[in-house]
Amino acid sequence: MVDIDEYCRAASEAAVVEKTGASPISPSPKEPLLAMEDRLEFLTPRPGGGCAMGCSSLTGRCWSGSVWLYDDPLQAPDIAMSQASHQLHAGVPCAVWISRDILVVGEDGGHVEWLSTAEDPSKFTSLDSISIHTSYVSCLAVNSDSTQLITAGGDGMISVLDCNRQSKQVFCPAHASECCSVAYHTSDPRVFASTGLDGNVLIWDTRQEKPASGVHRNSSCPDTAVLWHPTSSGSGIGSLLIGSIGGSVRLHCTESRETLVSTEALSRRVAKFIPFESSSSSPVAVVGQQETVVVLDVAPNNISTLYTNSSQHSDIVSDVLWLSSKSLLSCGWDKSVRQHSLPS
Amino acid sequence: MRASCGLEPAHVHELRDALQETSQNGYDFTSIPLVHPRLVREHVSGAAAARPGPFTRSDMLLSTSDWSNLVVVALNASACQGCDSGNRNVVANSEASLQQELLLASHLSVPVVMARITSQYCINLARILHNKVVAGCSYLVWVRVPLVSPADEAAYFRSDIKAPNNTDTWTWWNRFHSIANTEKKIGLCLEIGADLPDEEVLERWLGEPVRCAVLPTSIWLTNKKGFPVLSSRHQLFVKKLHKLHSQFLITGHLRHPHLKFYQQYLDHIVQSEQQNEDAMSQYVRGYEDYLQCPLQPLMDNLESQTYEVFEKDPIKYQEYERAIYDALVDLVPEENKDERTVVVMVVGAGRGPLVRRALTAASQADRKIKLYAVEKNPNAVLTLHAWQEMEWGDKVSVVSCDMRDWQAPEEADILVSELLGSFGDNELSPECLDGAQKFLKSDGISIPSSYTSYIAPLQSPKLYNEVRSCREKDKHFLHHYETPYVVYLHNKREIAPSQELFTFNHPNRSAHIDNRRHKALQFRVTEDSAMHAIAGYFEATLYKEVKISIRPETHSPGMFSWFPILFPIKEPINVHAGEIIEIHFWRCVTSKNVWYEWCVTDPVSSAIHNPNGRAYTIGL
Repeated sequence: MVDIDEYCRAASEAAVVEKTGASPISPSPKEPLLAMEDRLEFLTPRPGGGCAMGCSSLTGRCWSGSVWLYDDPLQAPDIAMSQASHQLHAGVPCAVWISRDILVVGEDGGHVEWLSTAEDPSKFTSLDSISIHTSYVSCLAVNSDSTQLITAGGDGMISVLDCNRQSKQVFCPAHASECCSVAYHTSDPRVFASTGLDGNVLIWDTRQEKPASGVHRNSSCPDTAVLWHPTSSGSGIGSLLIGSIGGSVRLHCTESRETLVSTEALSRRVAKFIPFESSSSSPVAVVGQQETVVVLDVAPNNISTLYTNSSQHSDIVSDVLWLSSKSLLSCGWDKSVRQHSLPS
Repeated sequence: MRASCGLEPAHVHELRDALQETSQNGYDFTSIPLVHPRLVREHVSGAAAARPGPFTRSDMLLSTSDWSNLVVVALNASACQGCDSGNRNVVANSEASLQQELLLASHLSVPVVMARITSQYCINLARILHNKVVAGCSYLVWVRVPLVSPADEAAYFRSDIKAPNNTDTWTWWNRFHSIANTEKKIGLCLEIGADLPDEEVLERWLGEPVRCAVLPTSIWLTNKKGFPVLSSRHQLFVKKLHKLHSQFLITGHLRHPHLKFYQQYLDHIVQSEQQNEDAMSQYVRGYEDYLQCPLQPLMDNLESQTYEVFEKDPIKYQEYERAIYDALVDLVPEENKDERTVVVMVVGAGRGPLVRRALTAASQADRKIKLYAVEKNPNAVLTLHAWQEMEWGDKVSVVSCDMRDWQAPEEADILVSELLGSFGDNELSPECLDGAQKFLKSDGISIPSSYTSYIAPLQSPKLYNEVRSCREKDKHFLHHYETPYVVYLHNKREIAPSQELFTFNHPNRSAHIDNRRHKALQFRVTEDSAMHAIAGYFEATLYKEVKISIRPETHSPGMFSWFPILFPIKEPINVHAGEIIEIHFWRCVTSKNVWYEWCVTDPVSSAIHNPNGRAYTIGL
């Protein structure tokens, strides 16, 4: 029988880096001192080039996370090639850039942290950490004019923050259980959509006194991912691309409240839609709780699969980053980043 | 009894640190997930199903005693919800994930696992957890239910939902608990929000086995000095929950200067409540929902300590004294007080408390009396003789005899007795007094002069389980459901106010005395409820305006001689608002014994309980 104290000491020595967590650490690229957690969570494209990559430890002794900066996304997840990094005491499910210098990271404990590279490009400086959710942050989204940010949480809450952190609007709860996904409208900076495990798909207009209204409800098979799709060029606010817990993807017209087209893109919960470009009707990558990357071409009358790959990753794929309209990177919980080329 | 309070961190970075923080701040336990809340676990197919490595932290991070004493496991919320999904893969993965956590919980010997329900769709989850309990798990299950439906709260932001939908979250829990066979090991964890529902709704929750109450930091107010406090309604509810031995759980981010203040405040309000506790609450402590078999003083002789307990009642004998005083003054006008001697007979005198009270009443009324103390229990007669020798002298004649057989030397003006049971007539006061009234003058007075039993339909999974656990091997398999119990009703709620059942008047001058009774009563249900038993009480008129009662509405303050009586029913009955509960009751009498039979006939019919008195009779 191993002595517990001894076991913990051994475990903590093995995890030297995790203990130093709270303060940002910025090693030179030559010193691979830092540990990178096993589960790669996101590859968030940085305005002007490069990306931030997040990873979490979800099964080890310490449930922690870290964020890594790459000028060249193709170098991820090589620790030595990272320009800057930041360690946290919680996993990092999601992040968004609100400018070239500021990355907002959502954490497992419900905190949202502002990281800046403005002072020193080789270092993430923590500007602020706001506790918002009582559970993990499930999704972050920035609006079209980069003035506002929404956070969604496992607690069913949605909050709307000014990007300058001056004001906060809280909808608690917005959904009766986990709010899985939020997405801003492609052009209206005050309108967004949300989905929750309560089965509701909601559209929000923060100018209204009662901001939310339901567009769809299915509590036995809830929708888990949402994206505005610029399909309707005419009147109205457009259509939603919606992914369900069962893996299906459909285009939902918000005016007629009808499903225009649908497809069984995945066989597990859809987690994220990553469009090549948000403003035009372009290919959309779909990832979920399986090892598959799917790229869809979405049109009002048809959804076609442009690309599908289940062989590159040995665990779930968590995010996709577009390199060009024909090439993308995927990261996954197998601690790998893979490149995919779409057939031309 | 201090408040037991736990802490639920939003995120557990390191297990030992989390537990240390909890205990350093004065909390008793920590609620943690065993598996990372966001860890996607694939059990069915695909590459992720073959993920190498552990699925969570090592058990070695805590000692086994910490696991089994300080940890409440919060089961994965999406797995709990996914068990009742419409998607097969989701169900399969959720069930397997849940099994994984439950097996680990067993392995670690944690005391409690907590499952959250957020809607009425929780049937498969209830099945899975109940299966574990039936198979014999070591942990208790807490089902975490919000007082207010989160969907209703979310509807506040919706422009397309006009009228608020007052979802009754109690029905979620009741459904869960019904599917789980009202299992004792499955308790309730109530999540309390900033807005408390109406009082009636709260009362119904107090009838449920509340093991824990969640008090998120967001519902706490801040007083002038910056300390966290609860609103007065929340305080009141917390005190009531504490009386049910509920624990508390603080969740959410720290919003006040220090984490320990929440626990300290809770402890403060429950402690101050205990200091204000009355004699009654002190007396009943330890007897809450504890089932006792009714006494049979006619068949069995009571023990000395039983007499001693009853003699301590501060109210009962005071009321008897008042009644005797009033009767004496009515019988003998002031001007006749020197001529007339009133014959008072105390039948069933026990160790003499009523004799003493009669003597006091007489001296206060300034009336002359002649007292007979009749007692059948030879052991109690010993005490009576001792009193007679020391104090009473020839003012009192002690008679060692059953009152039904006694040949009185003269007729009595006043017959005083204390033969009432928790249900009034259930210790056979009618039969005894009918026998004794032959030596009461035709214009004589009986104290008590009448008594009435009352019944009410009761909701109490706790008491239902207490009864269920009373099964005895060598008895009929329904024996324990067909026996009434005397019990201090605590974790319960009356579904409707009690109503009058059987009344007996004394002396009974009818030509043909018949103490058999039958009555059907209808109770209107105002809220969806579950009926688990029938509560019984009595009211008695000792003399004219002097009354004693154990009916909740009219309970004599401070009188603790009688706890209510409980008549079980075999199966819980779900009833809905607007429905009528109809209960039939019979009092059956033979030359040897008396018993009750009962059944529910609306909204559904139950079988007759205790036919022929097969489980319970009272011997004459």
